[in-house]
Amino acid sequence: MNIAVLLRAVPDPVEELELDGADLDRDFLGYVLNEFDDHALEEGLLLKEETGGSVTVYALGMADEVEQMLHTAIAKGADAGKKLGDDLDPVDAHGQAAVFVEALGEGNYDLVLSGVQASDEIDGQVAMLVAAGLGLPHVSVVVGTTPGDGSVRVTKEYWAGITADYDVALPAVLGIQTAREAPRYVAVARIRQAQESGALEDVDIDQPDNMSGVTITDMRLPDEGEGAEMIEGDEEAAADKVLELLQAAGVR
Amino acid sequence: MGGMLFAAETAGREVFLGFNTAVIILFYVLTTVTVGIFLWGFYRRIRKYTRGRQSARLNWGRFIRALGDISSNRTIAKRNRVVGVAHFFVFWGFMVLLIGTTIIAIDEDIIGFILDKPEWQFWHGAFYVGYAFAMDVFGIGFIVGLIVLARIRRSEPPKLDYTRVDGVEADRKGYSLDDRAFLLILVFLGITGFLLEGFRIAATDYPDFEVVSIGGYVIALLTGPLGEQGNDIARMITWWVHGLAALTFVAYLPYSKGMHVINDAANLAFTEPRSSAVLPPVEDPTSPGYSTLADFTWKDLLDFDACTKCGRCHEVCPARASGSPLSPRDLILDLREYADARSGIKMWYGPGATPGHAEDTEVAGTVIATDTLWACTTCMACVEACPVGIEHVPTIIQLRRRLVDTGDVEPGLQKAFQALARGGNSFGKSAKQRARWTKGLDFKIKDARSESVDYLWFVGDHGSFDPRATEVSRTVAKLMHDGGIDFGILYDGERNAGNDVRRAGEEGLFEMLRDANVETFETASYQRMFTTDPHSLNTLRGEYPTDDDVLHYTAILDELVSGGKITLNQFEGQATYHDPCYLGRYQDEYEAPRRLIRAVGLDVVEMGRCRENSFCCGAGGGRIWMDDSDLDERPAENRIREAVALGSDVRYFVVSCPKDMIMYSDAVKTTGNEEQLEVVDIAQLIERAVEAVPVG
Repeated sequence: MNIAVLLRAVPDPVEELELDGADLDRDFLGYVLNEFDDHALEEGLLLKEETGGSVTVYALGMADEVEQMLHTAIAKGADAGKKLGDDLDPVDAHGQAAVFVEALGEGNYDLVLSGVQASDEIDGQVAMLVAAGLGLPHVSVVVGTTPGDGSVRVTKEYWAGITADYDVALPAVLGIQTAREAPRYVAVARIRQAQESGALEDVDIDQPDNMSGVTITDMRLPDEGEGAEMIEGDEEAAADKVLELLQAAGVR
Repeated sequence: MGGMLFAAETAGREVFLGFNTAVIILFYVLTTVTVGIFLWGFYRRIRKYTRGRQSARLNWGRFIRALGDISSNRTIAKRNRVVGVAHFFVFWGFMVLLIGTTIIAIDEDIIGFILDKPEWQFWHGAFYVGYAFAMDVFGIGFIVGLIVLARIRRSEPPKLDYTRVDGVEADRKGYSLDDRAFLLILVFLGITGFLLEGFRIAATDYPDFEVVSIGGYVIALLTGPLGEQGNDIARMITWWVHGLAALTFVAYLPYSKGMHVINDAANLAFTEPRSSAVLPPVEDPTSPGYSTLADFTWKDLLDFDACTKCGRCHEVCPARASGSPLSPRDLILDLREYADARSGIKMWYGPGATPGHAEDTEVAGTVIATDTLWACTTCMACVEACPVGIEHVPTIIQLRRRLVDTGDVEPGLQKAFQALARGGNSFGKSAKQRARWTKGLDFKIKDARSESVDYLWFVGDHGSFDPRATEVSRTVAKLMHDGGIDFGILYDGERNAGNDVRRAGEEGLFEMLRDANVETFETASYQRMFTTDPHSLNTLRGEYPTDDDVLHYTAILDELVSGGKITLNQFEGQATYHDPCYLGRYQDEYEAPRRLIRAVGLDVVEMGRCRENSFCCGAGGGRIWMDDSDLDERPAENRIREAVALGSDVRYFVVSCPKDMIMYSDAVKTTGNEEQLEVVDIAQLIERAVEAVPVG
């Protein structure tokens, strides 16, 4: 099974986020791999290990950290990486999907995997738009896959923990919520070796345009509430404290 | 005295007294066969070691120290006085008897028979008298020592219980059998030796000079009633019994625990006591650590055979004590059995084939289970306790390197590694927040990257991010400031020093952190360095390419106090001090912290396990990042109970390591001892003494 995995860099949440107009102040932001994409990659690698074939990772060159992410994916077992563009400005989901569709077009993949959403794309449109652009079937919120003959059985999660299995004819696009197993660790030395492996290809593209027809007009930080009180101590001390608080709040 | 010396002029004895030539030839044939069996067993062992990877272990200084270790038995006597003295008698008894036998072989067989120069023979006269006396004195010591050791073994101390700790079924009865067989054959040799001597003296009419054979002479007096002829018959029989026992022993040696007389001397001569503190680097980054048996060095293979199963490592190991699947003894025995199986050696006493041992396989995760490898706190108690120089910790780390390379990483550890790779700290915090702990100080700590300072303070992760430890960091800052120390920190430029990352087996990440730190050091201007974290101290001193003078903060506080730069009011009461593994065992610093505690007027009451025998808090080697919820009793809890058992007069549990502060302030709570014992850093004690109202 030949698999493509789409990776996105998202702002590192450990940094303090500041606003610059209707966007994050991106000057000092660090970027990390979107957590859901890490699961998509893991699922892709597991499928490859089961069925043979290959995994190719794609990422938009919107941050310096993208190369590191692609190298990490290669170190984990991806066969090739494609960095689409360099130093690109942020682009909306439609614009991202358009770039991915074009890049994937010649790949002849059996399966395209993407994280179900991203911290800066919480409505999870990219995988769907890619599926639409390629004219392929799509299932979202996938929590596991089993390879079949010419198809793949996927488990999708619904509200309230209900799950359902789907048989999906290949080729197809999946939005992965969690992989069957926790994303694997890859040693730093292996990432270094991946950097020297030459498996990463830079693909020249023009700055994509925003295509969704929607524009962000304002962005606000959350209102600072009163800090939560952390209850410390062992079970007994914590239980006493909780009881005290409930009684103080008038619960009898 | 004069009479005895006169008699010594004619002193001597015949080895084959009264034996005909055929019998003598039979004895030499048997001896030749015995030596053949011995040499084959010995060769098999040596062949096994020569298959090991290279390791440069030639160190003449170490050889000389090993001579001292071996001749004094001091590594055996350490904290085990009775065993040490008993073994000392056995060792020297064995050595002298061996030398004695060798002397006879040289005199009789080489000079007398092969060279045929009877006039050169020296085993008679005054030499013989001295010889006979020495043999008897050391022979008696030999037997007494063996009896003491046998009695200890009979009392079944827990450390000699060979039951595996990981619950895997293994028949280790053969091990006990071998222990007893070895003891028994030695005692038997000693006793029959004396009987033989007694019968001979009685059969040869009590020569005057034989009075020096004190043991034999007493027996001869007792066997006198058998008459000259009776004694001679008894002598003949005992000669053969003793001789055959001796030959059996020689043949048995390389196939049993007996081999330790050779292996352990060699292991002590080649051991590197610093190999845990300064880990061997990864030679080939594409294949780090130990994958298959072929990756082990000859010294590792020698280590495995050197183990006498004395159980000292087993006893001191905090992982074992807390109910984890690791016992350093089991680890070494498992590796020995595997190495034997792969070398085509099947020891008669071994527990038989363990699953997976038949194939040449990955050692980590197969021969040694993954959980077992992650259980180690790298506290080095096993290495320190081992009387024969086995280096458990570096071996465990080599196997962990392999686990990391294959991505088989404990989940908590994986999270820490990923956080460290991202932000240079294990807390998953932004590097920019590293110096946030300095807020709340009423002075600004210098940035050593932009201002020149005397001391660069390497704060470490826990001292920078954990609320319990940052409190101590602020106290240290205040004391240094008030004591007039000119110091600075690296602010967001500091990274985790990598000591525990390296010990968790992530060499690439260690290199990344180290290189980042070294790069920052180069931009800073300082004379010396100090750190509040003993783990950082260890790697900064031994594993960084810099040759900075690095101190522990207690050394500086000690200077300030003794130099009168800090004036202390006095407390009254008792405190106990916990030696951090990486300050004590790893860096050999025990005194400054104790001086400081006494300087505030507190008496230091030592726990049974103190100084180089200190008991780990359970946080080292990456354990602080891993899940410890499945342990029966956390090492820190075990330790707090030890401190509480010192009595209610001991009010303070004094620490000098941020990880200890975290582990023990948790453990006093979980063991319900908060009222009884206060966990306090030395710096906090000093601060209180500075501020306190003087007593009395």
